[in-house]
Amino acid sequence: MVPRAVFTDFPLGNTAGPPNAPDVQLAIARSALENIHQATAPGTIIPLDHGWGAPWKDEARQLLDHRTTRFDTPQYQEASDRAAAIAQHGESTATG
Amino acid sequence: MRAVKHCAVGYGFAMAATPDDPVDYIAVTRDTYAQLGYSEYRWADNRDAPAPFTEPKRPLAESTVVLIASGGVYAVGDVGFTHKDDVTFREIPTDTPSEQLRVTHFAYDETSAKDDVNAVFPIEALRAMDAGGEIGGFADVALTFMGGIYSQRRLHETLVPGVVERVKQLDADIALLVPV
Repeated sequence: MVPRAVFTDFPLGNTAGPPNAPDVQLAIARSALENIHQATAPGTIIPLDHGWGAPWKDEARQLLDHRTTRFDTPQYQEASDRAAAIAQHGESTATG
Repeated sequence: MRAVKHCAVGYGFAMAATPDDPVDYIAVTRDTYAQLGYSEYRWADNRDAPAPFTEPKRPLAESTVVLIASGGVYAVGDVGFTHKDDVTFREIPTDTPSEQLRVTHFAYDETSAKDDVNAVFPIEALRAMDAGGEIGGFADVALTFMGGIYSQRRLHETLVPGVVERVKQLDADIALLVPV
C-alpha cells in the first residue's frame, strides 16, 4: 500500500503530465504535494481529472509486447550521450 | 472480446468493466506473457502490508522536497542505465536544464519523455513551486533509476537501501515518487 498518491490516468510514459504542457504538469505536481497534508489515512489515492484528450485505452489493453531488447550494457538516448559519459567516466564504465 | 489485427503475439484484449476504467496493466502484462509462453511473473503484493504513512512535520511552504523518478532519466555526462535489473541510481542536480536530461527504458513508450522529460520527471514544476514559495525547498539533487527491474530481491537489497540512505542525507521532508 502506498502512503498516499494522486493518480493520473494518462498513457504509460506520461505520469507527470503530457509533454510540453507545463501548466498541466505544474497542476499535477501541486496536487501530489498538497495531498501530503490532505490525506489523513494511509493508502489515500486521489484520482485527478486531467483528461488525455484522445482515446488511448483500447490500444493500451491490447496484448502486445512493446519491450525492446534488455541490453546488459549502459544504454543512451543519443549517441552523443555515450561520448559525453565516456569523457566523464571512462570507456569501461560508460559502455559496460 | 475483440480480435486485434496487428498483434505481434496473438489475439487478445484485457477486459475492463467500462472503456474509461483505468487500464489494468498487471492483467495486460500477465496475459501478454502467457501468450509468449513465459511462466507467470510473480508480482510483489504489498496490498496487505501497512503503508509507511507518516504525518508531515511542517507546512508545505516550509518543506524540502526530493524528487525520485523511475523512468530511466539521466543527465548528459551520466552513465546510462542498463536494461537488465540495473539497481544503480543517478543523482541529477536540480538546477540541470531539461534540455540536458535524457531517458532510456526498455518497457514504456519514451516518445513523450524524449520530447519533454517533464512528462516523467517534473523538474520544471518543482522549480516553479520552489521559486514561487509553494514549497520550502527543492533538494539539491533528484534521484533517478530505471524501474524495469524484475528482481525484487535486488531491488530490496540494493536499490531501495541506497536511495533511502541518500534521501536521509539530503535532509528532505517530502519525497515525491514519480513511477512510470
